[in-house]
Amino acid sequence: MENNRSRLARTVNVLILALLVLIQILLIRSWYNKTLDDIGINAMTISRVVADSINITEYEKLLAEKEPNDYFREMQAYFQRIQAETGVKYVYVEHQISPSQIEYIFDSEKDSLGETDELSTPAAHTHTKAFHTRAQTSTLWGTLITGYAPLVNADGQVIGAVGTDVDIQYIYQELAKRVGQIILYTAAMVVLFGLLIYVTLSEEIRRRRVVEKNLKQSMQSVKNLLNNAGQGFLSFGSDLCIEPEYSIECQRLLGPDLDKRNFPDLIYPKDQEQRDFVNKVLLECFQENDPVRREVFLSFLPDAIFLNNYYIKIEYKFIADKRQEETQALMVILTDATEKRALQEQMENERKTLKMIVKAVISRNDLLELISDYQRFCQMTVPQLVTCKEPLQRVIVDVKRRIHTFKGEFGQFEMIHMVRSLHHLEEEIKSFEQRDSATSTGLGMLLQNLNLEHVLNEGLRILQSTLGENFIVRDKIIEIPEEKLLELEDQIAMLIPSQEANILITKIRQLRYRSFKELLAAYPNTVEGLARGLEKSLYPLELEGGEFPVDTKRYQAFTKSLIHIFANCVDHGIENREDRIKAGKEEKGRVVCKMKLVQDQILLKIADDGKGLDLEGIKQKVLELGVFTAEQLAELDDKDIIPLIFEDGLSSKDSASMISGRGIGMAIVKQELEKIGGHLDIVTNPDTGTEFNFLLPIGTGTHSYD
Amino acid sequence: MARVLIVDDSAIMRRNLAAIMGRGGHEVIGEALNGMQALAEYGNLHPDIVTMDITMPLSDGIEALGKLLGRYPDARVVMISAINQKDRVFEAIKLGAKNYIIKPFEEDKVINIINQVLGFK
Repeated sequence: MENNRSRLARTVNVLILALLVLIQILLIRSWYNKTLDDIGINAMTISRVVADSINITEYEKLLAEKEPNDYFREMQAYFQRIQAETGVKYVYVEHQISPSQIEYIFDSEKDSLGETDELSTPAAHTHTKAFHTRAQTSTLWGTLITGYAPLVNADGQVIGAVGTDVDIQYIYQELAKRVGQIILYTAAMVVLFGLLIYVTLSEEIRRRRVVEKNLKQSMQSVKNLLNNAGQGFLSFGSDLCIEPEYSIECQRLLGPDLDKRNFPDLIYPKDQEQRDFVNKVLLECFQENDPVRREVFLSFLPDAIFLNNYYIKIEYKFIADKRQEETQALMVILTDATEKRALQEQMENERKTLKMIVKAVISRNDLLELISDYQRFCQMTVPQLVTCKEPLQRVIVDVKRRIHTFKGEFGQFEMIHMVRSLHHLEEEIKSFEQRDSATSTGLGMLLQNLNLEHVLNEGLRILQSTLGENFIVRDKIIEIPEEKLLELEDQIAMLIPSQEANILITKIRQLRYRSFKELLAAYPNTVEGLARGLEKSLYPLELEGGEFPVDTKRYQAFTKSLIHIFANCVDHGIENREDRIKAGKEEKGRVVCKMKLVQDQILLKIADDGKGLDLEGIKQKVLELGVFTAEQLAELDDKDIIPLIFEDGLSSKDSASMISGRGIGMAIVKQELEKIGGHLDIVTNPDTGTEFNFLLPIGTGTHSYD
Repeated sequence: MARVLIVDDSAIMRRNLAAIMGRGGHEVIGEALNGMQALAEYGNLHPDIVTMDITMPLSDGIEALGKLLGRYPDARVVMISAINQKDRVFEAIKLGAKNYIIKPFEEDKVINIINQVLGFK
């Protein structure tokens, strides 16, 4: 818009200028013409006056005689006077001899009479005209204007003409001056005009520059926005080649050099089929005008791809093409969904595992049957099949069928690991089949190499790690509530003679037996909790040994009381970090628990590497409680002091903590220990810590218990 | 409330689809088992919309589509396809089918596409 307006202004300016110049020229011309006319009239007037004062008779006489006489001299003086007074160049009278020859009769310049002159053709024309028209005329010769007045005799003939020549040289000078003025004036106008243009132009240039700068800034802002959006934006037209304005995320996802790259090639570098399909679809999209149909076509384009280890989601949108307003370009939006997808996959895997576990728990018996079927197949059927006399073809078919069936059945339990391995097995057998060298021994070796049983173990690992090793037990298991067994024991004791009863009861009790270790299974957790609460740094408690089966009911009360021992170790035994380091010990304390069966005794050791029992403190407390007197105490060995910790009320802590210090705990332990007929031996040392060594009889369970 | 013609060789699929249509507020006015039947039924019933399975044994879905559109160019056909048939579905759309649905069905999606093709909101 601005452009047109200024152009119009400029054109108008030019036109005005031209007009002014034109006016000037016209003015000069009219002045020039008028001036000449005026001079012509003047000259004619002078000629007329002179002509009127000429005596025609005398003139004719002079014409005939050509003798200068008084009249001639009188007239000459008169002519000279006229010339001097009017300031004209010449005043004279001429007489035409022939069309191209004249003679001067009177002449203000010369004093001779009858001087002739040859006329050129154009001059002749003019002179003839002067002589033959009876009116006055004036003509322009170069720098002279001549005004003629005819001399007419009595008969009306033109016998001569008076001519007055006026020099108009000065007119030309005047003209030149005036033209010069115009030129100057025009030049000034041009300069002014040029300045005006320059000013308006530079104004416009400045304005345009500002607009450009603003535009650039806007573009930069938008670009920034896109680049930081975390998504890749790119676009292409019907040529499918990527336009150079794309956001940097595209480079991260697709590669560095994207200018003008072909989009299908870029997203499917290795898959010719997909490339061709995408090409086909895109071309159709660009040709389609109906936006509804176009959206349907767009739906065929991939909504996600795997590229350069990224999982990229893709969206498509048609937008106006920046180059031509009629056509459209396709904008592609890339989103990096790699992490999200990895997470989803992980979740999916966990979900599948969960399903598998649930199925295993719900249909445990069926699963166990399946497992033992498979094991039988591996251990017995396969070797048999291989060595039997059946034709190889039948054998292979059999094996394949069985494996296929197993695959399906394990599939029902969502055991995808098994399914996959068995599928792989099927493939191997298939390819073995096609070989020419297939023999039954070959088959046998193949099956051996494929290690069918190992496949199962791998497959069961997840189940076992989640549900415990005891979940998959090879023998058939019947579940009986413990109470029922106890009932049974009681009934046997009541109804059956004691000898037999004892045997039976023993057997039944053994059904209830579990590993001794189980009784202490909770302690590692407990000790960790204690350590945390007391802000002590410990290695995790490990339970060593204790796999031997026992009547857990018998030892339960005792093992439960051991909390006080552990608490003692963590609270009083293990020092805090600084003290340990000062003592040159490891920063982390250690509590151990070892269980061993030696002949008919259970050895249970609980030990810490702390600072040992506070013997002085014990002595002090004993004194306070009045258990012994000072003298009695003095006689006691360290060895004898130690058991005193079990005395009721004894605690080397002045204030009871939540955990220990009431002086009750140890006493309870002692009590329980005595109930099951056990013994305790304590070894303590400020450098190596404290050891509680329990000895528990294993017993045959013939005694009843409370 | 549109009148639907279902073209599919599987009785189970037809029943499935019919149930979905019913719940979506449309009426199934006819069923066809192959392209031949489809052509005939269309002529008789002039449904508002046709669903057509892309893989049918006797007459292939694309062929049937071509014949149907040839005879009735204003027919609104939605293709039903399994998940890895992109190429064929694309051909069908190019030929003149309006849209497509991928098995297994998501009921909402099916109704949305049907309504969109019919021009309902």
